Amino acid sequence: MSPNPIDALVLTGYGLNCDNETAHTLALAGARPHRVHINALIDGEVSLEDFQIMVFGGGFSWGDDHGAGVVQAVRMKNKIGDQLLQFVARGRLVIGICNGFQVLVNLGLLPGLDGDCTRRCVALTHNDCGNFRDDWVHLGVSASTPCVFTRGLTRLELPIRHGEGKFFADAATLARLEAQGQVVLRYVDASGRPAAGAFPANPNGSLNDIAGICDPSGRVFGLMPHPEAYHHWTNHPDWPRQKEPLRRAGRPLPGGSTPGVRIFENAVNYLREA
Amino acid sequence: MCGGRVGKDGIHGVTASSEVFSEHTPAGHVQIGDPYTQKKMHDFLLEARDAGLIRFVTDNGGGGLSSSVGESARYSNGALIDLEKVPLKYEGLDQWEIWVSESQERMTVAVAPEDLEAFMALSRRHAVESTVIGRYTDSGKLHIRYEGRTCAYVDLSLLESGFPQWTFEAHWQPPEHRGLCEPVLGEPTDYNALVLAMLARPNICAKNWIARQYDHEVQGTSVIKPLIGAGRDVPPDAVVIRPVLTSSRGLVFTQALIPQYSAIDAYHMTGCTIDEAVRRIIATGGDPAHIGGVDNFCWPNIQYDAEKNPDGRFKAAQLVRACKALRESCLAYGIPLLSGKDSMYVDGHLPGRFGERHKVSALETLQFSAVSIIDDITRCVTMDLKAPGDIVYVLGLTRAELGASEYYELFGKIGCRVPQAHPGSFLPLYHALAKAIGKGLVASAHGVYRGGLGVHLSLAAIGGRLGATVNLDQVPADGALRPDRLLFSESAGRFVVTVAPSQRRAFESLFTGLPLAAIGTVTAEATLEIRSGPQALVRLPVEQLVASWKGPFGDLI
Repeated sequence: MSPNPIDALVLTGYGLNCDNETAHTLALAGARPHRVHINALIDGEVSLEDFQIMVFGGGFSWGDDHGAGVVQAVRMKNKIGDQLLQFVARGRLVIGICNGFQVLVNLGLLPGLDGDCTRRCVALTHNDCGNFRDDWVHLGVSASTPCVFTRGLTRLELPIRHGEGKFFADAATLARLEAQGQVVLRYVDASGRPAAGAFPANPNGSLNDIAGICDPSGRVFGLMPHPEAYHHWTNHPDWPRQKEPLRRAGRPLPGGSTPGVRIFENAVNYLREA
Repeated sequence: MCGGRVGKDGIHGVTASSEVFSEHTPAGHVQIGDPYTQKKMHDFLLEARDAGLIRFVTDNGGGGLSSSVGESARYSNGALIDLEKVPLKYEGLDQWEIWVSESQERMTVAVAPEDLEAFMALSRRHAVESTVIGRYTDSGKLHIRYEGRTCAYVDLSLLESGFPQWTFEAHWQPPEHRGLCEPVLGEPTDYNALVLAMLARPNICAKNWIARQYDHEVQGTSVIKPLIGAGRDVPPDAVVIRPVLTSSRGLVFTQALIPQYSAIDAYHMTGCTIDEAVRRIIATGGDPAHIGGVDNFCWPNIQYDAEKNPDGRFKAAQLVRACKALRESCLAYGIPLLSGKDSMYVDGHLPGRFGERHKVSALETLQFSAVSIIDDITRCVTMDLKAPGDIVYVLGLTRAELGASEYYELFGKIGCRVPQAHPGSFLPLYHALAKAIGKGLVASAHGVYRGGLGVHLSLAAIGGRLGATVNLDQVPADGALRPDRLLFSESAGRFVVTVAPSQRRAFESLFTGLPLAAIGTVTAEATLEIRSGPQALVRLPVEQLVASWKGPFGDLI
């Protein structure tokens, strides 16, 4: 174990369903994952102060009633809202994935414009295609973003699995997010060009092809795609086709960190260096 | 009792699923699913299990508490239940309704008295409702009370021995005695149009738009997804997950369903369905020695009635034959049946044009699920063609078995010579293929299923978005078969496999004495060419195959 362990809290309970693989991916990235029930935080049995990373993971919290992520956000804001704000203010890292991203925008932790981390000013709403969708997407990382989770990444592929992933904001808010480098991830096509709203490269009709945003500090990050679902090269849909030429050339099969793991490694490295 | 509350929903649910559906069927039997409550309960119970707080647990499925408590009380030899303690969704349920309601997302758990406090605390933590509704005893009685008054007091032994054995009449008539015979069908001349028409058949065409609407990667375990290939739109022979993320072992899972064959003989329907499931496992790299199965019967009413079910004896004979085939196939392939289910009254009375009713009975159907293990997930093989120049093999004998085939169905025919599985002669081939896959000699492997070689060569080409040139004359066959029969026979026991030329010798050496033949090569030009003699019967660009295959539903997202 590293002399300087990074403790990561992964929320569980109330319909969250990606906690196991998120904890696994954090462990691969060198963190010490802790799966913690939302009620254990609310009861005070577990304290946020003991953690450096907090993950709002995927799932269907509170059955997606009243809109995805809405009830979880209200519940956490009412019960431990101040602790969450302090966690962020102390320079720790927060990542919200899929349902967790929906919670972060409902809490107002994202986009956190004007230093206000409580105001809801962007939305993730029903996909334009009208259905829940599971597909792998191509993503481009903005060059100018302060986001600490995506350092060193320019292009990656991840799966999306959601019914409410369309990023929406008014024109003025969008312009500010763009100007401040808060748009971290965008849906692009297979050659890296902007999806320009076209389905299925942009799977949900997100404005400006937005797949993920961060707060102005770059330490709070939310995204619809699932980095924790790409922790091993065999998660990628093309791996049997990638394996064949390697096998024939007598070359080793892929190893090392997948792009999904690298997002969490970036968080661990940032905290180690801080 | 843990999880959801009890309501009038789901009362007689299981009885209704095994009964002829009509306008008189009570709507209350419909069970209302609630995955959110289910997930919370699931999280809680896994933690309680790991903490050692559970002595016994069983689902409240068919029969509700009557079944879950009745079954579990056999272990202690008695139970005392206070029905008024059972949490209800709303007032107004009779005692018997509380006892038999099949409201979903409920488990009955036995907890030791000394663990009760810890169990209830964990339940509160997970926001799951758990209620003590009684206790297990050794009285030999199932004792049910409501507010202190006894509603039922039954010897437990009655639950095991109180049922009279149901007997029914079965009368089998072989297909040829029922007037079935081969249709008189001349050889077609337009094979291109024929292949395209087959790919557009409802049971064969693309269904990628369905799988896309379901989360098939949650928990991060997916290895082979339900959509694969260069276009990520073709179903694989089986899916693979890696349930333990720190392990290299995978679980291979698949299903097979060919009810059409029951129009000729449910014995061969069953045998071929199980054989298909086995081949789906083998083609993906699953271990043939570790296959487990689940049988799901969907059957029409088998009780003879001169008026209401005049062919009941025949349907009963079909059931007897299917059970025989199930037993013989599972013994031959070494498959333990892990679970199963039956819906035994799949009949309906549909309104006609003049106000009359037509009884419609489902084909006698056995759906078979199979699961196996693969020790190293990186050894998984998929069905899509991988590289130009690879050799295309057909494994297994093609016979003139077109009875109840998709090909005959295209023309509205049934025929008589239904495909038959021969596990004894198939198994050496399956073991050889499993060995070849284990050694990493196979680039793609795909079973030949509904629609035959013509359809499944096309699907392998669609999967790789690559072409192939093959010669039907090379296909291992039982006697000389006409090209349309070679293309669309649904004989069991067959695969299409591709192998890199450099591995040809190593691959073929595993198949000495077995029916195997190289029939052509994979081509970079994305065109499927199927030859017979000097003639190209089929010559179709793969994009045209795709267009036809996706035609019926398009991208209905």
